[in-house]
Amino acid sequence: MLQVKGLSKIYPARRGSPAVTALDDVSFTIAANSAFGVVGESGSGKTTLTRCLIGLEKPSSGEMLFEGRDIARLSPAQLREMRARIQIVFQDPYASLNPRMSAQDIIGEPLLIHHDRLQLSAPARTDRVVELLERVGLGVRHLHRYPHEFSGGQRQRIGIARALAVKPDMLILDEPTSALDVSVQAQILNLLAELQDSLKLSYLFISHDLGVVRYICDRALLLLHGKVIEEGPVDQVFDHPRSDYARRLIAAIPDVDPAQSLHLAH
Amino acid sequence: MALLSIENLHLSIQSFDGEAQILNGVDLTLERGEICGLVGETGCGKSLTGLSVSKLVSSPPARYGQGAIHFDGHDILGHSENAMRALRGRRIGMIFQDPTTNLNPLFRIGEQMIDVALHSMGANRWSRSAQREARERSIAMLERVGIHDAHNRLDDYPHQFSGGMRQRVLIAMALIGRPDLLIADEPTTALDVSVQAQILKLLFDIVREDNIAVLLITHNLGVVARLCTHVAVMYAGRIIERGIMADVFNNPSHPYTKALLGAVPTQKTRKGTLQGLGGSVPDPYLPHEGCRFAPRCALAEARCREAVPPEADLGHGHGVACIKAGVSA
Repeated sequence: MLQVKGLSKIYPARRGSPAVTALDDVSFTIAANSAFGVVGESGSGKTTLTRCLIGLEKPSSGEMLFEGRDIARLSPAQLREMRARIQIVFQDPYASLNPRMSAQDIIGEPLLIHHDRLQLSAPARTDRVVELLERVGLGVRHLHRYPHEFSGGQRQRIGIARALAVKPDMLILDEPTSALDVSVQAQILNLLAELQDSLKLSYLFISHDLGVVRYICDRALLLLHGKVIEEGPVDQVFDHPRSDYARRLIAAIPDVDPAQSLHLAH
Repeated sequence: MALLSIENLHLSIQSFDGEAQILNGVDLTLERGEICGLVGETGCGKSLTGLSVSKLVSSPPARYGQGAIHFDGHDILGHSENAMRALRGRRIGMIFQDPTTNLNPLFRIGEQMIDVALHSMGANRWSRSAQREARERSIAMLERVGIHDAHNRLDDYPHQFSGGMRQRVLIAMALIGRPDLLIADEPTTALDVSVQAQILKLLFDIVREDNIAVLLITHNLGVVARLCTHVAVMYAGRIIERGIMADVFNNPSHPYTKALLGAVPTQKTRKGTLQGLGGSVPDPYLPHEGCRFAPRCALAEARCREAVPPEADLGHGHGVACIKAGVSA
């Protein structure tokens, strides 16, 4: 579905600051209907990678082939078409929904933006929005509500419904649960797993929570300073990491297990 | 007598929508050398419990009802603002969540730290010798929290520090007055896991070396498992289960504690099998009777809705406020 080959992004040197290599020869492949995790600490290049994939940044070198066509070389019209196929769900459901728009407007907006392709009449758009609300566990009663009337988990459901509106093949999920409580996170993760199954979606799942990545993803990639440190099936990456960095990072994740208490080590 | 004891604390906050009942009888004790994790979902009242201990909730709009907070013989809620100022920073230290917003970007790290040090020393801030000593103390404390070359870094501004380093500075500031109690509200939430691991180790070492007590407010159960000796689980303004961390995590007895622990994906959790918790936290504006968790609880029965369940002791200080405790779901 998506093939990234030798992707690099270098932000050139500016007055007083040296050039920054945000991505350095990154390669990976996401198969259709699979979930691919990208893990890394702040500054590792996760965000630059997503910005390149949705055409917000031009990579310095390398290719990003989405069904055989390089995303960086698309014409503006082709890029728009491609963006209907790859949608994004943002991290912070408090910041990514316009407080002045109702749920109907928020979820319906992509249907208007891609109107030339979808050709949905106004009543058909409303029907589609209701269908999407139900798909993500909300309902027609939520249609005219505004973001402040929803809890964090419900807002993230709206963010997911908006991303699904134009029937994409792939979702980029940028830390979709890091702003949520664990109980709500579990609901959202299960919703994402169910949606992936029933809608045959591919996920590019960005997270610093390795437990979540392991739960949702089939394969994962670990980035450090823009370089790929580990790549493979999640079990291999997490149970048999090859690099010291990955081993240290995995050891640093606090598991909900009293056996790893610092008090036992002393 | 415990270093900190919170007894049956009630707190309500007046707002335009009416009166919200935030804390509904919080009971908690903390001894020196203990690290107690206070966990619960957003809005359960854990941060306000922490703020109440240093009397940082402004009232009005807040109003304390029944209950008391005792810290080493001090009746906190009865203290004046001046009396509290003598405790804060000297006997009770605080660390907050976001290290980027808790340092003033316009002042050098040193100025901000020396200010806190002078306050904690109770010294005349215009005295040269006190200033010199405050600077020495600041340097020593920064080195202790793992900031190298501290005497040069004192002249840096906050933006020259990374997130983890800023959190270290805030921890150093909280500790510079040699407090007996440290209240840490989500101290690692904004940090990367590797930095988080370092900060947890640092807090652990400080507790061992100085024999202080820590109230760690967090929603990350993994952090509790790694750092805490004790844990208190909070729901809708009440502690519903508490005890030694390993006892509670190995044998969770309240259905809510079980649900929270079940919601965290572990190595063995298979896709699609994670147990979410349906429903949402109760509205603090609505009057209520009985167990606040009953509407979301699979085990709830009629008598759960009639009276607030009292805390039952399961031994070794493991308390649980549920009449169905121990019944498997």
